Amino acid sequence: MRRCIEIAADPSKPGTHARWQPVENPLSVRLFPQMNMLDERSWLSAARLGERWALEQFYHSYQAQIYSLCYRMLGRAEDAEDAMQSAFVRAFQALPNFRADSSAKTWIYRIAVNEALSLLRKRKNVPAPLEENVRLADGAPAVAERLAIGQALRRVKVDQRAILILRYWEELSYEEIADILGISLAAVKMRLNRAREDFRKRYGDER
Amino acid sequence: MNHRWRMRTRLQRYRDGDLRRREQTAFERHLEECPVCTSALHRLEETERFLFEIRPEPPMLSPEASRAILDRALAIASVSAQQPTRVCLRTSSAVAAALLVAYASGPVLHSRVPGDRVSVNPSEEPPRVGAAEPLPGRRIPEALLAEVNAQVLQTVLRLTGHPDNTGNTLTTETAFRPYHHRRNLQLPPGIVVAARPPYPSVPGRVYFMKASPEAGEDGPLQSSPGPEDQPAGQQSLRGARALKVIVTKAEEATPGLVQTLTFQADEDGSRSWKKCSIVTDANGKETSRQYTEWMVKPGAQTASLIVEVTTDRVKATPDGAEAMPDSVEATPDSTEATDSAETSPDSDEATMEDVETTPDRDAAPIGSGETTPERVDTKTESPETPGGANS
Repeated sequence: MRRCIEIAADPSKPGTHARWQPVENPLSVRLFPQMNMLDERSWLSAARLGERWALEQFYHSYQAQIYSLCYRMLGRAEDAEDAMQSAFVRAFQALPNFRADSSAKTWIYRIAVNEALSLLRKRKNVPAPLEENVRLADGAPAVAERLAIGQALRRVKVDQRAILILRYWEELSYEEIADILGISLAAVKMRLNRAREDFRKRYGDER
Repeated sequence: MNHRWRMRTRLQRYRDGDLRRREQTAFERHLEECPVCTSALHRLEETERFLFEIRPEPPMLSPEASRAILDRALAIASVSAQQPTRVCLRTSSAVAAALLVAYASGPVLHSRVPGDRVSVNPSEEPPRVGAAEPLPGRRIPEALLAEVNAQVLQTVLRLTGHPDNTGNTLTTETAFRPYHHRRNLQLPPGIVVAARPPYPSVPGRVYFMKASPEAGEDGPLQSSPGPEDQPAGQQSLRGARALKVIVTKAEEATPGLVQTLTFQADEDGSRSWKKCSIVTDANGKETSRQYTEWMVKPGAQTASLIVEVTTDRVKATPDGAEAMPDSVEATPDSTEATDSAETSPDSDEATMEDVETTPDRDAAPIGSGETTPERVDTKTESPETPGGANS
């Protein structure tokens, strides 16, 4: 039987994936079966202590998701980078006090949402238009309709837009949204209803 | 309007699939009869479709931009940028020469991940460190500690195997403190000079080495007593910023084979294992030596096989033919590792810079004699007296 060792993805190289590589010297595998098995608990503990390598691990674990979230909330790459940087600064500073009541993912999402909302409010609720060269999902509506939908979404209040984005663009569950926004499940559903109504009303105005 | 208002919650629950079966059936029956609710459902579905369909895909964030954001965030957050651990190994000239020639001859196994380097500058003196006490309020990450303990324990159990060693030194209560959370510290001098004579000397004995900041380079090293010096298990390694565990084993089943395994955990979280197998002939002369070194850098989450070198010393027969020593073939681990060296996918990517943490005196000097090689294998080199430790 050929023994393999898991070679984790290199975070510095996008697109690389963890893989199993045959190991010709099974002694190493027998001796150190867990040597590459640092799970989230391990590095999270170290990150809370300010270990640089663990903070980097934390960053690489969530960077793509947070960037995507910020971009979708702010609509512009530069703003998304700013918001993401602010979010991780706040996260690094707050990690020693992170009690793990919620998952690290919802925790960093919460910080990122707050940062993005704060940036949006500074822009006086006027979100940047989505970039023209933005890639949309396959089967997206025609240009005119897409513009109308985008315009309607932009005119929705930032709080409501945030919940729509979390639900429909980030595809988070009601429970995760409740954790991120720090509200009850019922409140999430109620706000989502209102946000949808508001969006629909503004969409009607746009057409 | 009242009807619509009342049904709104139920509509959403129906859409989310939250209704019980009976409720769902009843609501579907209602939908067939109620144009208001049917229209509301279509409107809801259309709204959700709109929202899904205009979802933008963010542009790719380049690795450079991502790295820059990380660096800025770390700087702003005032997280100490710990210097990369410098493992300044006073590699014996013999071993260094062995690696150099082995590298030059090609098939030395190098399998490293770019960026996963330990900076080594042999000429650079490691900075002195201050007191070994941890910063107030900082503590050892238990998960990491447990992992290290488990690895050490497993290593020792594997290589020593007899109750004297397994029973007394490494228990879960043993106070290993390889991660000592101080900022801006590099490896203390004690680690650098950990492999001085007469170490390692006694096969079958477990050695612990820890930093001794007070000792300086020439001070006494702290090592745990062996199994004959009870209670070894009480030896505290508290205060160490790096931990080195060396296990030496004389292989009884294969006379002439001695294995040394070194486990090292550094304060940056990296861990490395070095294995040295030395085969000697009946006269005690070394016939082959094999180094294998693995490293894990947690930041990269990647296990790297840093170097694997086999040096065979083969005696020429009187008629000029050469014979491999039987003992090498009789050692399963040795042969397996040699195969590994030959099949390294990255072997031709090796650079001398890659050989940064060369197997040093830690792994060397059991039974090392003054033998001069009579033949150098194409992929190996015969070290001269590899006994940095004995010199």
